[in-house]
Amino acid sequence: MTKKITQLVKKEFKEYVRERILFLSYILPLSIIFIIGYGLNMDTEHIRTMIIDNDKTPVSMKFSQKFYNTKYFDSKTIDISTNKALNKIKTNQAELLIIIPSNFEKNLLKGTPVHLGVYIDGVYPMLSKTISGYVSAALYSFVASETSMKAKIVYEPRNLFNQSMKTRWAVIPGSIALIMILVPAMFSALMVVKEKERGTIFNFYASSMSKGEFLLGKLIPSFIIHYITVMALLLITILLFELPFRGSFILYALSSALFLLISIGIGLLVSIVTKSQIAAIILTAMVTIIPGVLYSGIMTPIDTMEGMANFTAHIYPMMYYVSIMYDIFLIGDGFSSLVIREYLYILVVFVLVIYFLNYLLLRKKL
Amino acid sequence: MMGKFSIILQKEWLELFRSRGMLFFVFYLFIINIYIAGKGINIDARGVNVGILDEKGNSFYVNKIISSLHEPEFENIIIYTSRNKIYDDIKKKKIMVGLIFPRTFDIDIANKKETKIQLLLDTTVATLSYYTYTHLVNIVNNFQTQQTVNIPIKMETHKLFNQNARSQTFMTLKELMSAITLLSIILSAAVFVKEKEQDTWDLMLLVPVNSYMMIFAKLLSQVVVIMIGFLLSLGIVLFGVFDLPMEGSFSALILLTFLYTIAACGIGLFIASTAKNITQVGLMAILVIIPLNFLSGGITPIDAKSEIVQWFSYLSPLRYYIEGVLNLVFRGTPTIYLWEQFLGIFVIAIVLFIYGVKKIGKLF
Repeated sequence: MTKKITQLVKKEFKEYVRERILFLSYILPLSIIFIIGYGLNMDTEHIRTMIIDNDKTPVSMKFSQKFYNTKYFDSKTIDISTNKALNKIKTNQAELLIIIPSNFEKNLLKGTPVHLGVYIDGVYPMLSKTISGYVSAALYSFVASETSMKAKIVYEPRNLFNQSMKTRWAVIPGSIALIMILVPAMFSALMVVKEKERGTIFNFYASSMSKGEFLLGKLIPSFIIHYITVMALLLITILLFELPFRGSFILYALSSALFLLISIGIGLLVSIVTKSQIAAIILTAMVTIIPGVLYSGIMTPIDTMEGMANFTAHIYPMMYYVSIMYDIFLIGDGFSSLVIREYLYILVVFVLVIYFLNYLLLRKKL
Repeated sequence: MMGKFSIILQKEWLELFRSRGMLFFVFYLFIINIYIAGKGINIDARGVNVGILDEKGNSFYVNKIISSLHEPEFENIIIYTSRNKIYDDIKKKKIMVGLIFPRTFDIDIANKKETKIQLLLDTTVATLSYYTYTHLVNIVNNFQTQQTVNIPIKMETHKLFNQNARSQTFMTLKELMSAITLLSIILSAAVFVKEKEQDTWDLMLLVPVNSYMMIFAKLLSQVVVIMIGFLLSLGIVLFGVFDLPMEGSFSALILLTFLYTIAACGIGLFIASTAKNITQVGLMAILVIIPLNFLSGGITPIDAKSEIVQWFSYLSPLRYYIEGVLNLVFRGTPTIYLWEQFLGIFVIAIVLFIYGVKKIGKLF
């Protein structure tokens, strides 16, 4: 029995090399991690700001200074009509318009309320709220400095897990999970259907090989190839992107092995149920790219999702592995955390269910 | 001549309609997924759960601060009695922020003495935690200025363009653009490579049709399918369910989408001309789609990204498309101002086509 499997594994390896897929299978994960690691920046900085100062007094100028010399605003004081300025936001040349009313200084000294006009481009939902937060922070800081009112409440912010709030720290652990769902699944999705299209599946039908042996023969080479990727990604993350590694290596090795089995299993399942390679590719893209990006908790936390989206996130293995990844790199509770142990068991259940389905749906006849 | 062209078109459509699975995928991407994502996913800062530890218990000022943490930004306010429990629940993702008020909070404020609030923040979710931090600080600032002086400046904030249900409509639009990208690239690449895989390539060569015409007909067949999907999705899901606003010109939106679909099919053509087999098509498609999605301004605007990324993004047709669509749908920018976006997509499409047609054409 082992001999049959070894033969099949050898054959698969040869095909990988011959069809130049092996090369792609390493280039692909590396490019994705580099693109995300170097290119993705979700910090809100350099907000293009226009200030219309209708007062032009020392106080109003002092106020506008709050929007200069910070990395958050790229400010320009301009002398145009409100409508023209609004038009600039409309044509996407600026995100923020602040209008300082005339009599700003006079009214402030008298203590009469002053109305500050703030116009924000609201197209990107999160961005507009952040901008409005920044503006009011600048406003408080101005008021505090003008009224010689000392701030009495002081914060002691303690940023847990990602102390300096680096986007890279927040995104990379999730990206490893994203890569591990995309690449192995796409590979294995074509393994069986390819044989169906080429007709070489009849070799299997006619051989004495059992369904289990066939599946193992497909699984082993993929597993070896992609497990190397998992380890390479770990090295890149720690050495190049300088993420901390606070959890246990054993947890990383174990959970990644389980997740890799799931990813390959999903691919094989797609491969077994589809009839053509194109359908296999699209089905894989559908079950990996979309839930991987959208329902994984990388972009938006799962507990803020509602209804079907929340449900989708839970029936998909991604969120469990993503949580474990965050623990390994940033939190470091490891096996001592009940949640992490629970998530590991859930991954085991996924593996069992997926391979049971694979075994059930694979046919050894026409 | 037109007869031959339409026969190729019909052949491709027939193949698509025979494959029920494929039709379902197209339907899923254009209708079901957009509906689910729009209904359920908040890319907005809302629904954050906050944990409060009031060391004194039932403090007057703490209650006052709590009363200003309201929806939609904050959902559940959970009162804790121990520091460790807060810490634990942040780890379990039950809450995202913990605020710890000292025992002397009330007395200190009454005596105008300095006092400290501890703020525990889960920062594994970068953008949301950053926003929540700014928001909380502003709430406390607001609270303390009210305690001392009447803050003399009132901010009159106007959020322009589509304030209500913005998160939902934004999400649906973003998913629609993703669906177009994904399908255009994969379908158009597959339409060529499948001929190689199914050994019908030689048959195709024997067909008495000019190779350029063959390429255009095959691509056009996919563009038409995607445009129909786009229109259905727009009509049924985006306008029908989510009440998408349409501030700019509708026909400009259609034209821009048509151009973009052609450009994205150009990427597919590029992949098809480079890939040797379908496995390579799949992998190269991922290689293109992931960076396109992350780096084209679908989540945060392009202008907020690093300069290198901005520079690279000029090569991405999705960048122009997203900008153009957001301008048309939400901002209501007059079409004349969108010439950059139209031109960008157009140039990229032309370049991709020249390359792809030359390379695939050689194989004929």
